[in-house]
Amino acid sequence: MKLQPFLLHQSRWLLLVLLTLVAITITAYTSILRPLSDINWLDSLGEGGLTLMTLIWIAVTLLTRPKGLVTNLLFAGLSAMYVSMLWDFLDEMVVFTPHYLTSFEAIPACFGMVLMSISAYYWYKEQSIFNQTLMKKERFYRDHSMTDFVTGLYSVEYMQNQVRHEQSRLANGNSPFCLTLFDICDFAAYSRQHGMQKSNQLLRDIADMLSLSMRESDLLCRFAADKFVVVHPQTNHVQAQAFANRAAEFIARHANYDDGENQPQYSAVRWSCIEVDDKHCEFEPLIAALVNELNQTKVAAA
Amino acid sequence: MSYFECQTKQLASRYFALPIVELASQRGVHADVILKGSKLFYTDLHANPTRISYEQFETIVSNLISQTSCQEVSFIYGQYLLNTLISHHAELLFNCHNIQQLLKVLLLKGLDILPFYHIRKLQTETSCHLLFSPAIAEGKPAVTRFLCEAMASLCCGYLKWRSPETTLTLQFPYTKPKQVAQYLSHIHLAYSFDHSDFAVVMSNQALAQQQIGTFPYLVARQLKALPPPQRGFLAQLHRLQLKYPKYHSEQIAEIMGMSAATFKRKLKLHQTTFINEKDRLHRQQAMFYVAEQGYSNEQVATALQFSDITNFRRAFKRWTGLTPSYFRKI
Repeated sequence: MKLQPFLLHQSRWLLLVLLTLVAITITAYTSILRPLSDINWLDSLGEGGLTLMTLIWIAVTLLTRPKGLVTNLLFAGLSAMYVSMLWDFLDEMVVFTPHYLTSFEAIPACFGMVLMSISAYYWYKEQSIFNQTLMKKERFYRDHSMTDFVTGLYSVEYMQNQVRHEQSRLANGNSPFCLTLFDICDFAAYSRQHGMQKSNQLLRDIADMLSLSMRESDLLCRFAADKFVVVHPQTNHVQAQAFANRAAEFIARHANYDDGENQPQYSAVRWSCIEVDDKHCEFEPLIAALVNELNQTKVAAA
Repeated sequence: MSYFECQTKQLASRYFALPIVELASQRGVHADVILKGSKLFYTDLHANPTRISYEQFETIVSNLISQTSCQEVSFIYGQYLLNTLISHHAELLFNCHNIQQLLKVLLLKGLDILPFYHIRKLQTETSCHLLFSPAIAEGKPAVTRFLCEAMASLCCGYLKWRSPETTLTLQFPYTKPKQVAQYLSHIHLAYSFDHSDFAVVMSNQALAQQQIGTFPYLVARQLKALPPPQRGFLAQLHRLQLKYPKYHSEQIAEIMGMSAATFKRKLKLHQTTFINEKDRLHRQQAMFYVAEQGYSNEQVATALQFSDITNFRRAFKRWTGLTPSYFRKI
């Protein structure tokens, strides 16, 4: 079993156990057991289920979220609700003495819900910041099943939908759009020399640099292997070539440091670009033309 | 003559299990998901001499392909094998003077290096066809595709590295997949789909293409240094079927040292039948005669020792779904 997710929020897990023990201890000191005939089993089952579900929510929150304000608020809110649920459940099994203690059951849940509402607000803020970072990597539509795990960009299938979308805009009289394909020079040799993990890191770095070099209206996706593809809506060939040139210059200046060494390594990209003004052209011939043009650039460079 | 079966633990986990698990974990898929049903644990894979069976390999690969984030892993895995497994045999392979010699070495010792497929070489006056047949067991279609993609990527990487001038054509035994971007990016050689076998086709001139920086005199020594070959079950069967084309399954069973019933059971375990494998070999040869050599039906029927042409035509239809004359037209 992997311990890492548990170690991240170690103190919160301990707090949860402590909270449960304290809640049970308080109940034990202030109550007596109900006679079996007095227990409403269906009600106990329902309230037990609520307690369990709240516990599962807490576990999922701790297992999936990083440390931070939103996590703390969510944890605090859910824990308070959990204590209320637990007392409510135990109330079915025991009778509180003095009896008025029963009235306090719902107080933690009330506080918990307030905390959760505050966390929802901060969560929304957090999400808006993420949306900001996704600006050049996503357009109009979110579908995380189409992302490439290594670079965090959308895959070529997502690009296909977007190209179709742009083509339908062509039909409405929009000006042509451009597709640019970037390819990392000598990636195979880099991969051989530095291994898979380091080459994945290079892919991520180049993806970041490409996305920095694009306009907000452009969309960058992972093509395959060491290739990336950008769609420039309403852009002519000359403009797109200028963007690609600037991006290539930017990447060529980036110093990449090997582990434990201070010698910088430089990587370069080459690119090919096509302007699309045919609204009926299929996606596959388009990308085949892009790859073909790129291969010709490669041959010319060699 | 030794051979191993799909349940024999013959494949080194450091080449055939560990990298697949690692590549998946780099794409956010936990090792337990990839190893599910293989009766292997992640910690087992790290123990050095661990070997796995073909069945376990197939389970691992099937689990991998079901993950959407791992679609390109087959190609990356091919490159990984190039940098590890193939480079492990660098002294032998990299020193072959030209492609012709490399091919000879592969025909002799290929199964020691990559045990999944064995190669059958068919040659005309102008071109050389290398047909790949499964060497251990008949694979599931998805696993076959994974292995073909890995081999294609391996082949491209090797040629780019050691013999960049060589051009050849890859033929894939399945219809064109949706992820065509992967093929466009990873495969720089010509390729086509919808073939009967995974095949590599090159002109006879390409065979003379030299590799970079070779010391050919090292090859012979390295060839001797390799242990005697360990063939998979199907590779052994194909070998015997080619050597004794007239033998029945009972006779082949006897040569392989088992009873006819055991032989039949083992064939079933390897997802095939005796006739199926015999048909495969006949089909490869017949299609080659018809498509590449331009033989007439009479000539093919005679060459394959059929009693008459009608029988041959019927058999050809059974193997390929097409009559020989229709096959010639397309």
